[in-house]
Amino acid sequence: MNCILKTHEQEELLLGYCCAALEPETARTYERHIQSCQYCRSMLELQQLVDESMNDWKAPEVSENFDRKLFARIRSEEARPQAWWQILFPASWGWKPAIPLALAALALVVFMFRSPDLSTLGQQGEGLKSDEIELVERALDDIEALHALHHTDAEAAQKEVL
Amino acid sequence: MRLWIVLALLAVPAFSQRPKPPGIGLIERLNNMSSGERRKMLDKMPPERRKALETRIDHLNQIAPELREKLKKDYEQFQQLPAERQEAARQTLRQIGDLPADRRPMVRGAINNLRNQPTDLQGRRMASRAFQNRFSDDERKLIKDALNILPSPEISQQQ
Repeated sequence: MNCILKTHEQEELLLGYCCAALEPETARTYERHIQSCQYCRSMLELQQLVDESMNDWKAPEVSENFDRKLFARIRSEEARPQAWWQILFPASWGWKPAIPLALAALALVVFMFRSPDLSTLGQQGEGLKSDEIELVERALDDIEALHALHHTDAEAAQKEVL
Repeated sequence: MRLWIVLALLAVPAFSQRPKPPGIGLIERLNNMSSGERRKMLDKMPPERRKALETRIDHLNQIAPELREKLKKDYEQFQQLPAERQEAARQTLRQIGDLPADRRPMVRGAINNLRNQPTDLQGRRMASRAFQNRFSDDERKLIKDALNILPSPEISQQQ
C-alpha cells in the first residue's frame, strides 16, 4: 500500500480508521501500512489527540428559554418598520450598486458646481457689467471676422477654383 | 455590476454638455429684448460705444437666418479651440482683414475653397504654379496659417 499522505489518495481512510468506520479488510490493510509508515503513524497519533480533546470538551449549557428568546428577537426585528434606505436599497442588493450610484452623484455634483454659464449673467436687470460688455464685444469681433471669411464675394471665390 | 457601471458612465455625458459660449448667449439675450430693455441693460456704457454695439448687433441680425445659424455653429466651434489657437486665428483673420481691398476677397475665397478639400489636394493646389503666381508669399502664408488654425468645416458639421 502506498502512503496516502504522500499520494494524497484515499485520505479519508485515515479519518475512517480513527473512528472505526472502515471495512474490516480495509482496516487491516491500513493497519499494516501504519506499522511500516512513520508519517501515517504520526498523523494517526495527532488525529487521535484531536479526537480525545474533542471528547473532553464540554459545550456550555444554554439557558432553558434560549430558543424562546431567540425567536422573540427574530420576530421583533421582522416587525420593526424599515428605514427609508432599507426600503430603497434592500439588504439583498449588497453594497455593489452603491459604487455607480456614488459615481452618478459625483457627476451631478460636478455638473452643479462647475463654472456658471456666463450667458445667464446680467439677468438681474441691473444692466451688463463692464466685463460682460467686453465679452459681447469680443464675441462680435470673432463672429464678424468669421463672417467676413465666409461671406466672400462669390465671384472672387469662384476665381479661386483653380 | 458591469451593467451598473456602464449605466453610470452613460449618465455622465448628459450632465457634462458644454455650455453655450458666453458671448453669444449674451448677444442672443440682447437680441430678444425690446429697445427699452436693451438700453437699460447697456446703460452703463458710454453712448457712442453703446450705439456702436447696437449697430453691430443689428448688422448681425440682418444676416439671413440660415447663414446666421451656420455662423453661430462656426463660432461655437471656434470657441472650443484652445485659447492660444483662438488667439492665433484672430491674428491671422485680422491680417487678412488688413490686406488691400482688391486682394482680401481673393485670399478669403482661396481659404474657403481649400478648407472644403482633402488635405492632400490642398497641398497639391497650394504647390501648383497657378497658386504661386496668383498669391504673394505673405498671402500664401496667411492662407496656410488659416487652414492650419481654423477648424475644418467637416468637424463643424459633425458637432
